Amino acid sequence: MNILIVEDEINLAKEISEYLSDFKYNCYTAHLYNRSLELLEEVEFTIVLLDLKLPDGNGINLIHHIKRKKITSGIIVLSANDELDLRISALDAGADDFLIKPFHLSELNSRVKALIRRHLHNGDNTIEYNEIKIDVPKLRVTVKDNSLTLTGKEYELLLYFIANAGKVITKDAISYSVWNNHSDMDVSNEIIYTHVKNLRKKLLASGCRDYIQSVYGIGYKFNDTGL
Amino acid sequence: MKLVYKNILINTIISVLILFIGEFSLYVFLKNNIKKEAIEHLYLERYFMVKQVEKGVDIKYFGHNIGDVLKIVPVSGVQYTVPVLEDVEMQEPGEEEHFTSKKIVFDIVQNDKAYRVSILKTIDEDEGLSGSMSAIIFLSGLFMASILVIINVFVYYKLFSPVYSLIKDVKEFSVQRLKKIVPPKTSTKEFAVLSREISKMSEQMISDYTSMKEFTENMTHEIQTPLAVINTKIERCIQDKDLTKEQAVLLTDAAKAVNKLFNISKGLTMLCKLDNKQYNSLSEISIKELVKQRVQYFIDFIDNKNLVLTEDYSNDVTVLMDISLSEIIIDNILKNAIQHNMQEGKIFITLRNRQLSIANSSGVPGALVNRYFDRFYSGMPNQSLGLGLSIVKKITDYYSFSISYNYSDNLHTVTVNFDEHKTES
Repeated sequence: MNILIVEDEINLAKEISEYLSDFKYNCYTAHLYNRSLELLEEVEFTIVLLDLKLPDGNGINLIHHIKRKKITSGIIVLSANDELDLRISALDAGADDFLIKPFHLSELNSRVKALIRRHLHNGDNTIEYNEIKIDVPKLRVTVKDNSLTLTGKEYELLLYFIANAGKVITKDAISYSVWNNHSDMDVSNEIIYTHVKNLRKKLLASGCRDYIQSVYGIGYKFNDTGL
Repeated sequence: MKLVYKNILINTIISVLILFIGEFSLYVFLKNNIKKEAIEHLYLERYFMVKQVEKGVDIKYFGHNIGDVLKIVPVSGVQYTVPVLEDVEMQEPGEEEHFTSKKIVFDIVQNDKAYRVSILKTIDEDEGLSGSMSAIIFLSGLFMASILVIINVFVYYKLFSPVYSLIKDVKEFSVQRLKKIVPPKTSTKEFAVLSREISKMSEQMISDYTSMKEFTENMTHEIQTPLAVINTKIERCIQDKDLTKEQAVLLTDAAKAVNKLFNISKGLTMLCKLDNKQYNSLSEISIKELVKQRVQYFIDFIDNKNLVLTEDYSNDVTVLMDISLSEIIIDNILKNAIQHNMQEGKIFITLRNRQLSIANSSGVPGALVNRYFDRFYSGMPNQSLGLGLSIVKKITDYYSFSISYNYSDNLHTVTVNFDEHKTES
């Protein structure tokens, strides 16, 4: 799957590209508006990550261009500006999601995955990770056909973990995505700990392997290597 | 007191004073003159009589045409060779009025016979004249003074109209509206200078304000992308398999600092937007529903500290305001109440009489009341940014609600009153 990253900040584009490449996406980067037009002609993209402020053009115009050319790519806007008007005009133009800078790469990754699911697998919106199966529209989690009862937050945690499987996820990123916007609360670490603990307990009880590893001082890693 | 009234008052007092003094001196002057003239007249009459008598006119023939009352009495010897003036007070029977008269008494000799002559002249009638003259002058003076006052008022308003329009403009001036004060047209040099200078000042204020605002806005915007870069770099470092524990801690601290910076810039952007009055959408919001919903949102945080939550929604309040701002008010107060609470502490939420109070127990003594809503004021080191409540204060100011903080019985209470308070400005 091809992802186009339109971002004039070279450093940021590079990091996004490297992170997403680890999940087997082919990433192309364009630092200029005109270059992104060229790339859109040449390559078919599943997702376009778009910074609105480009040195030689406006990201909103690029959305219009994509829609006019009937390109089917999903669009996620990355913007430093969180003004409501801007968000509305981007979404009105046809953007599918809006992420405010600075964001966590894991957050971006899980948004990209969610969009791909919505975009590509219209009917079959399920996530599978080894023995874990998640039916997203029905919010149902099964492990080896055992149904799991998760709380809302646990469910979101699991989705986030699986989306970023194999990567270390910071507690900050978790608190930002699952308990959005309240990462400045000093109690969030304990809450994350409690919820992760409960999720792990439920997964293990249903016969799931222990994928959740805690990484000292940083956060967690959800992976199946070395098990 | 308005300048115009002050001016009129002073003018009136002075002109009335002058009028009275002038009037009084005129009256005295007239009266004296009349008296003097009467006396002169009496002397003249005497002179005339003496001359006539010398010419041989019989004294008995003098009568009606001399003085008001003429008395000629034969006397045995000459006593008044020099004429004597006397004041005579007379009262007519049945009347209260006194007559002041002047009398001249002298002796005259004719045909070796001596006569005492007294000529009497009343001066009251003439005094009446002086009175009415004074009255006429007084009235015309009064009339002139009032005309002067009226003219004064008109001229004053005409003259000072540029000053009044300037005052109005200065009063209405708000640096946020970015509209400079236009100097009113005037031919008065001082006013022209004054309004020009004020206009210049307003222009300067606006330009300072705009550049400051632009700076803050650009700063907060431009800071986001570098922060995003730092964030992603840290995230990549974290993925390193050979990361030591020490490095992990360092990176986490760095990430925390970045996060803090990000929150500061977000908070400042919001304060900027509030300053710029950029929130114009209004929705009807039920505070009760909103608080309930936000409490649910924070329930994990409340449970985590085992806080005991007591909610009392006696009457609901419906408020017209921006949805996101209403959420921010509740969130920030709630966040504050949770964050500064102790384990197994209490939170009281009371919605009554258009007032929402959120109280939390705390082992920490009360913050400085007057600084509680200040930017970057945090009662404790290293705890919060101190922006949350100043944003709440800004929002309540924005909608003319009032907010207060109170500490008693180990309870910190923040109370928002949703009644609009007309602030004097």
